[in-house]
Amino acid sequence: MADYMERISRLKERLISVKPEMDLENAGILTEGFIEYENMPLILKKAYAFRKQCQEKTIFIADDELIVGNSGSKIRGGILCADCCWSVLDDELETMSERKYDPFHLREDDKEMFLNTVKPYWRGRSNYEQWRRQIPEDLRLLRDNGVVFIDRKGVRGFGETTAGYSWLLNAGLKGIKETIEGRRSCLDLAVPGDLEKDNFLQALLFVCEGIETMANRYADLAEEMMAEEKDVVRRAELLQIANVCRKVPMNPATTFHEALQSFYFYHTSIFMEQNAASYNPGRMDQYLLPFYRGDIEAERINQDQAQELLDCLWIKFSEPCLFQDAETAEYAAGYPMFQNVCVGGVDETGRDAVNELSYLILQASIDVQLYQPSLSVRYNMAKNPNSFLRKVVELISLGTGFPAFHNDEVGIRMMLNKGVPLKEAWDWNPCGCVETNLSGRMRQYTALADVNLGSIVELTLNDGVSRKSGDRISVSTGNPVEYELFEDFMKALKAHLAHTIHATVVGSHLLDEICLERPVPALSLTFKECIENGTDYSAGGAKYNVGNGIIMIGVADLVNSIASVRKLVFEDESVSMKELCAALEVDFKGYEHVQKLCLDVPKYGNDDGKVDDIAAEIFTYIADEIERYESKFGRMTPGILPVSGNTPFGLEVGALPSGRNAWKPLADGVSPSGGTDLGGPTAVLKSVSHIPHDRFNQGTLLNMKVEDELLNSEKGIQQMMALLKSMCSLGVFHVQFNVIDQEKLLKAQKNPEQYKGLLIRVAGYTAYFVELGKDVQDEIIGRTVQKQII
Amino acid sequence: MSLEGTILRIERSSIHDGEGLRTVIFLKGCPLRCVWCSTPESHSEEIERVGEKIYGTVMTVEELMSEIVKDEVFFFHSNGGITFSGGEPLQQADFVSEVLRHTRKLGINTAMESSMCFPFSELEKVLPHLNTLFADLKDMDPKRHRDLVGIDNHLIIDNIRRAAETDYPLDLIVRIPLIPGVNDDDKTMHEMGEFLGSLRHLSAVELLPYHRLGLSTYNALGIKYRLPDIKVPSASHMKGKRDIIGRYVERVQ
Repeated sequence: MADYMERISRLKERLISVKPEMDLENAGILTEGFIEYENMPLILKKAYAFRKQCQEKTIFIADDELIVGNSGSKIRGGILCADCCWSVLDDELETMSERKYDPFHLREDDKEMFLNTVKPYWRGRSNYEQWRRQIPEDLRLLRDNGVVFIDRKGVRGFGETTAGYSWLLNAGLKGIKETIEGRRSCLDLAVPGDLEKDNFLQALLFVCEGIETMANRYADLAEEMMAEEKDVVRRAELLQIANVCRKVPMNPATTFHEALQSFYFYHTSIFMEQNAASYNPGRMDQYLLPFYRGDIEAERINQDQAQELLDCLWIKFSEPCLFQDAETAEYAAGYPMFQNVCVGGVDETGRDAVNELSYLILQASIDVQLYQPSLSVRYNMAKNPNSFLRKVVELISLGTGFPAFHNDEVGIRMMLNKGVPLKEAWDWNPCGCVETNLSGRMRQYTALADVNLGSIVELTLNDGVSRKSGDRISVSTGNPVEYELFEDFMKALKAHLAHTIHATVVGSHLLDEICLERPVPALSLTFKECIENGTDYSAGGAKYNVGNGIIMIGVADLVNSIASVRKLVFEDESVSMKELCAALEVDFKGYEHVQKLCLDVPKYGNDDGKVDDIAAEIFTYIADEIERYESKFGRMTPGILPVSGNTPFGLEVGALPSGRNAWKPLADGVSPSGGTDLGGPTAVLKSVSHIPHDRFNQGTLLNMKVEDELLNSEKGIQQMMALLKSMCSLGVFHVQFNVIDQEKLLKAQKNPEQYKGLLIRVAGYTAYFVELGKDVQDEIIGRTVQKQII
Repeated sequence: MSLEGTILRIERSSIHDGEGLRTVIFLKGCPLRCVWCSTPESHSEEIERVGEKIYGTVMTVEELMSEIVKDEVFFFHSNGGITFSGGEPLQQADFVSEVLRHTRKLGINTAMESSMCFPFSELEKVLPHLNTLFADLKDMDPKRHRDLVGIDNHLIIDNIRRAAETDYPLDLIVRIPLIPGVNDDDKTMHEMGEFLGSLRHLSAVELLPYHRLGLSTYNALGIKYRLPDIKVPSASHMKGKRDIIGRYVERVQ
């Protein structure tokens, strides 16, 4: 083990021993700032309060840290964005500490401060309250019945964005300030519109001042601590921290350490401004490279020291914890920050962009093995070298689920489809989960709302009535018994899709309006065109404005259900529509023979053209339907990523013709339903390739299970590399792997009930692991390798 | 009319039985009854039904080809291809030969696993279309060979020798299933080594460790498993045996 790993282990140890806590200092200062600056324009109030946060927030430098900074006042704090959604905490004041998904400990004094200071000021003024009051009736019905999930944006801030880090590192706040001043000097307040622009530009100057003050406070603190420090080594480290913080982000960074610190001060600032998931660092192996190379060439640091600094930053990425309401947390559980770091891809000349720093970044994730940052790979099969692909496979084999593997060519096409010219599309970066983004240039909500495709099937077979509530929540498409042809069934299904998408688009437009009152000057600061246009990010100041993302959940459930209806009711006529509907109504109780027929229909995920054709057709329809709509910020965009939404959505849906029982989770992403893919990884990839991935330009997500066998030998690694290349040839966008290792098999042997769907290759055939005899199970367990969990 | 074959099952993305990612086609029907056989459901060429489970399906050359091409992208990137296994592919040599011929035309790598227990004329039907032939060598002693698999080994030994002497540009890999206490005594290893060392063209020898993964199927079919409780050979045991063979031939895996 490298020497630097001792420090990293200690940092990691401390981090994972801390339980997430509500961090209300930020909300308190914001509130006081708004009161102090009352009667000023909103954008200035927001920036003034931000500056006040920078001036007054609690800061600390923990032992062993080399990179410093924190968006709140605690190591693992959840920040309440009072102006967005103070009422979420009000609603959950008594349950927040103990709730099932993502609890945050709430201290008594914080609770008191919230009730006395925060709540009285913000009551009736937050975005979330506006949203709750204004949501249209038809959308409310769909939302309350779990057909659409759309509250997320009322609760979180913008996020889902990649700031212009590179500009900040290279120009420093000083350079950005000059640009702002230059722009201001061109304004004439007598010209209509220039007053608003001037307000906005002044707000940016407040932000600059705030960040500078915060950095200097860290420098002061490091100097104070140095005076007290007995250990000479640590004293030298503190001196270096002080020097770095004194210099950046005010000035351009000149060393690797300065670049990382400058990055992190700004990164925490935008999170401090607005609690949200998916503030994506983006292509760190590109914009940090000159600083790394400069240090190495000048022999200021060696590779190990650079790795140590990078690892220290990697630890910091796991500090912030996303705060959201209980229901939203259920849809995206695990305090998910989705700070997506990307390596690989192509450069501005279209050539291989992999460099020595790409490997260091992969190594940082191998070293640290925490849940953040989300590490993504842009793999360009034509341009990136095999040595890079191999390192990626080594990281996959650790079984942490990282990296998310993206097919670069498809990502580039998604960007083109968003209206970005090829030259800039080459610079795309994965965002959040699997969405597509462009550093410092693009504004959108990549995942504004989720649509429950299981519900769509249910509504089609139940005349627009929710089975769970019994309420009519969608259009009436008639009694399904009267469908004479399969085409009639499809027409009805498309009518429900069209209705749901229409209602969601209206909701999206409404959220766009509400979010005009959610300015983000700190984020806007590194979007050059925001300054040029004198317009905040929230109001469309960025270079590229894209319509919000509408996300599909339950792909396999939809496809398999359509396949069952087509085969059983219309082709074989082995089950009548009447009998099928009756069976679904009672969750197949007493209709076990119908359920068996449903389950026996060939399933998506087995490379069976007859099922996969349906996937191609229906997802082309969905992409067409979403892209029909324009918004204030551009054409609406489709995507397929579940986060964890497939589980709560499943709770809202009764039995389905796929054979799935009522109230069970839906399938995730574009993956087959668990336990229905019997043909191995190549068959899964072939089926999945029938979805028109390029058109779902907010990304598509595939989870694949891979057996240890494919990763624990030299031959296996080679085949894994070939499998990933094949996936690129097939035009599949993304995949991430869960490794079936010894530990998992032992658990399955112990608790077979929980692992019913676990498939395993035996000897020439695939079987359900729990159905094998114990001796065969033991033998399979014996052939897998125990993973070292660090 | 297209030839038809009886197929037990098709396994895709296998990383065994040849280079790269492979589609392994298990055929039904085998004249041997090896006591350690892990696929008893392949013995009969007839289609068998056990409860709800059906072992075997009849396919035409075209139908099988359409299954094979499904993974052509994966073959391309992994340098993989198809492998016929069994059962015993030579029992359906005309069918196998036709499929191999079509497969090779598409630029896909071909391999076959065989116990080599058919007249050489059957083997000759497939040799021109093969990239790799995996030939099983189970024992050197004719009498014990008869006890373990049902026939003596003269035809097999002769076929292996003749396959090693053909001019077709194929890789011959001899596979030895190592059954502890049954066919893995050092004397047998030396005899095997001597024989293998005398072959004209031999790409490699592979020792395959005994396993019991087929046990569930024996139970399902109601067939008695004739071997006593034998432990799976350890890595060091395997290495010792490999070392012996390695004294006679260059590449032992």
